[in-house]
Amino acid sequence: MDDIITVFISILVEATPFLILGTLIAIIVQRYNIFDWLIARLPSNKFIRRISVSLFGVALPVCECGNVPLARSLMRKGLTTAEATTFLLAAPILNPITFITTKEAFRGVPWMLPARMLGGLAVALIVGHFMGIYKQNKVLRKDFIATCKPRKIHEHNKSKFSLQFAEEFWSMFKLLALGSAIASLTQFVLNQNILSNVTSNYVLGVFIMLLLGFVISICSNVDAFFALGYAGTFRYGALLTFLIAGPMVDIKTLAMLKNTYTKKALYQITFSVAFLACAIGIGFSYVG
Amino acid sequence: MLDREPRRFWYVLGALVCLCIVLIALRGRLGYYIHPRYYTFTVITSTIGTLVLFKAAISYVYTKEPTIINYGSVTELVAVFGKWLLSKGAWFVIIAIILLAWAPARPLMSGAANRRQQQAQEATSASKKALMQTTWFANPKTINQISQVLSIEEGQKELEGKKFNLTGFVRADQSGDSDIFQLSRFTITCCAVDATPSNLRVYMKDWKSKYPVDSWVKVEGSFKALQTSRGQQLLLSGGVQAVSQPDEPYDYLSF
Repeated sequence: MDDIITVFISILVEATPFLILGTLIAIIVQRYNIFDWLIARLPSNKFIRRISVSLFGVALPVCECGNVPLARSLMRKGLTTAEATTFLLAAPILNPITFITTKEAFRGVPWMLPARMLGGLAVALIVGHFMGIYKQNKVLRKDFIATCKPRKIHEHNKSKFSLQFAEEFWSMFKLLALGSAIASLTQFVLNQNILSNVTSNYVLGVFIMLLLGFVISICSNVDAFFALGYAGTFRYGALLTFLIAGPMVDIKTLAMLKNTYTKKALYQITFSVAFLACAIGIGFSYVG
Repeated sequence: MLDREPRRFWYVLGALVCLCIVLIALRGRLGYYIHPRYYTFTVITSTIGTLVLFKAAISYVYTKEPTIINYGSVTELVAVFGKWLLSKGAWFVIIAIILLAWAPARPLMSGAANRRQQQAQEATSASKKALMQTTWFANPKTINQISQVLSIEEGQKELEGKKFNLTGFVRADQSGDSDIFQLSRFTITCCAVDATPSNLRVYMKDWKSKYPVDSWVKVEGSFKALQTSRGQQLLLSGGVQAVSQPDEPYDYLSF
């Protein structure tokens, strides 16, 4: 029980500051016209536009917890569901801190960094495109769509900064607390010793690392070092699956997305990311 | 009387969460949960969070006119407040605050180490080469580094006879040998979530009677090839003394 509490507190102490930073940036984006200039100048071609949006993470390195309020804010600013989903999935991977740590951790495996960056971008673009096929009310929750209407934005701008921050923080934090509790309990049940014993089958290794990434809910900025610990146990393809899927969908992030996306959309995002990341991982398992 | 939408309570709860994190930092216990590289960032953002959320709670009272309802009885009031707690997920945040504020701070110890211990894998020529090229191969400092160097034959030759002064917690050795215990320490890159245990086997006659499992000890000694029940093994041997648990109980990996 003590270990569960330690891990639970650890996730909260690690993630809450990023959530605060992400919420602060999200409110600034929402209230002031900092991003309007950039959004207005995005290319009109859908594909190039989504690639450009996925690179927002380079300027806003706040990892996955902070990206959730930011993605909500960008949707309120007029980004489509497909664009916001692409940003949400790509930004934790395509940011400078993740770039540096992946490069440092996998010095001896030169293909790992480009494979992670390009693989992450590809998965984000495909899943984002997939979400764009559906009508907005099938993907996003009605109560969230209501907050995106222009009238509401005007009301937000009139309200106090602190109240706006508090509303957004509360709506995210209660889900973060829930996600952290589930993640810490699951970690207690999941015996990494048993997992790492299943090493002979590389396809199984890919699925195990996918599961580990989903449960561990580790920050994308440093997950490369954690993955490196499994380098002797699993093939590098399995580690790549962990590095691509982990920052996109894990227990903590999914809990935080609960009040933005519909349940069906969350299932679709989770399974599409898992499928694509596994396909990439299995493909690269032949390489190393 | 109770505000129909007691949003200010939410804000106060949020502020308390941030305040608890600041208090953990003030008590010098952040090292139990996160890597030191996050200390400054955590303290600054949590302080900002505390101030903004408390300000929001105060502002709410003055900027909105809450709907005040007169409740007929205390039971009715409790029922409405209870419904709010359950429906808005506030109870979960309250549990988080209780744990952050009152749960005794405790780093991960042998229980977690047993669950997280990875099976030692046979080193490949590539992993051997990579290990031998590290800057610390000839002069490892931490339990994590030493255990990695010892995992290959060249490393064992390198370390035999070298003196070390190491601090870690006591863990029973899997061999069951009554004269051998493991000196363990977790290595973390981010937070306790990714903590991975590293161990060194220490030779000491009847260690159990002096140092219980999970107690912190300092071992000053060198690696020697000693005869054990399982044949000759390279073990750390020397003086062992009890020490108090360090404020930063893990090896923090930097990059």
